[in-house]
Amino acid sequence: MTKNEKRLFMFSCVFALVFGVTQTTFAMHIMEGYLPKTHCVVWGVLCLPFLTAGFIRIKKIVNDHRKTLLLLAMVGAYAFVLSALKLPSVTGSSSHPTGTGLGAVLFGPSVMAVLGIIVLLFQAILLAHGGLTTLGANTFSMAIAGPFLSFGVYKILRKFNINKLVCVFAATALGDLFTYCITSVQLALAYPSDVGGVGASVVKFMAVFAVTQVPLAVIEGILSVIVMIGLESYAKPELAELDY
Amino acid sequence: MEHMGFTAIDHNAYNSALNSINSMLKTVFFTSVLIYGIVIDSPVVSLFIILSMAFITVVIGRIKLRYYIRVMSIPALFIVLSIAAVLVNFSRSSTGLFTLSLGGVNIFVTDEGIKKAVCIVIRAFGAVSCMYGLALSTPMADIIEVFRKFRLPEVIIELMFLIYRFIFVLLAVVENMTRATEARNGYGSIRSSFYSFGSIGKNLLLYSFRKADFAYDAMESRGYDGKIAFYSEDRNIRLLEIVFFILYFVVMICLS
Repeated sequence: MTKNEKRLFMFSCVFALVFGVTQTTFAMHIMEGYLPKTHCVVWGVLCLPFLTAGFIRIKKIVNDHRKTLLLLAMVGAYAFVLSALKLPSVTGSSSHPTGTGLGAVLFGPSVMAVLGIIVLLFQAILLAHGGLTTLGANTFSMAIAGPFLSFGVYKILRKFNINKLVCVFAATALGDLFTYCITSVQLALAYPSDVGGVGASVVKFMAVFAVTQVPLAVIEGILSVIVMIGLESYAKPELAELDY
Repeated sequence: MEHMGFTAIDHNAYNSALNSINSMLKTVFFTSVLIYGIVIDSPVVSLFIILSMAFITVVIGRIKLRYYIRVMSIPALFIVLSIAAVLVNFSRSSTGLFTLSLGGVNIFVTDEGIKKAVCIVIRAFGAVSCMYGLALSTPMADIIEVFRKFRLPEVIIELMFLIYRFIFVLLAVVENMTRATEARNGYGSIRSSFYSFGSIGKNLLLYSFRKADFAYDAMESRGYDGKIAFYSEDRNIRLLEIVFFILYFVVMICLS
């Protein structure tokens, strides 16, 4: 093989590896073992207050209405299944929304933190997305930072009497983008660049993951709006129950 | 495999030869090896973990080698992208082992960067193989049972069991919906695939609300008062397993 042929071969191998083998990958779940020990512990500890708040809230909800436990379980299962759904013909690889933003808008962010950590644990063990030692970091970015931002954006925009669907789009898309920023920061803090330190590293990680994550945020926003339109026309009573 | 392959890992765990071992012992073994590998952070130990876990899962657990390699490649996209970010450096002045100049900015890879990247990859795959060791030998229901023994709050345990159960309920529905959509060329164009995906998402959420209603009625009519009983089997721990556990750690400590 000539040098160019070799290069072409290598390139096609990498391409096949990235887009062929990994049909169902969440690029943004930090994989098992990727973070050093201290980072695993610190991100895990940072999640604790949110999880405790969520746990207390769930306990209260369940004490008041037993039935809500089943509804919450269904939402957890829904988030898991939605993340497993493929969205064909958008990119070569499959991309899928996380659904946590919509969940936060519907159920409140602290509840989503608890549901999120359970779903992330299931994703690690049943789908091999994410990991056990990186569970803390992934929970912080996907089940806490994103949903809390989504919820905040939704509430603030609603205050200004902006159309509900616009709010849902902005909340879920921004929540997704925020999750992606937090994950980049987490990775950069773990592996600062030799030249330029953490700052340069954040830029590098964001650049690398922007390819999949920016279109995904817009897609998540659009899909959340489609789901919301459907819910508004078919599930008015359920939505009223949720105080949406 | 049913359900579009999304329950394949659980399915394999049920069929693993290691499924008959006490689930508490398995969980403690795999997670302690996992944590030890990350705390020690040495390539030699991690290489030992990668090879020994492959042996445990494939030879002792009788998981098909081809399947094991396939699950090992699941984190490939993440590792390729994130290692690229660790390897490549940008600077105006400094250069490294390989340097590419683009309009005054040097894009380069350093010797040290390569060493660091190799260490990260080996450690990560060592940890991943521990996680797969657990996932491919212990069904999810047994793992939840272990959490209960560690005294996690009962509400959380119930929530986990219910989510686990409902995942299968919803996956079956999604499978039907997706097949129906494909049969009607619902993914024909980007526009229609967006519409179809949104419709499935919406209908699935509606379905899960209704299903939660039905499940509650069914449970209440059978005397549900806030406690769900689940079936679990306690398997005895054998001496040979404990000897293996200790020997494994002795080897790991010697290597580090």
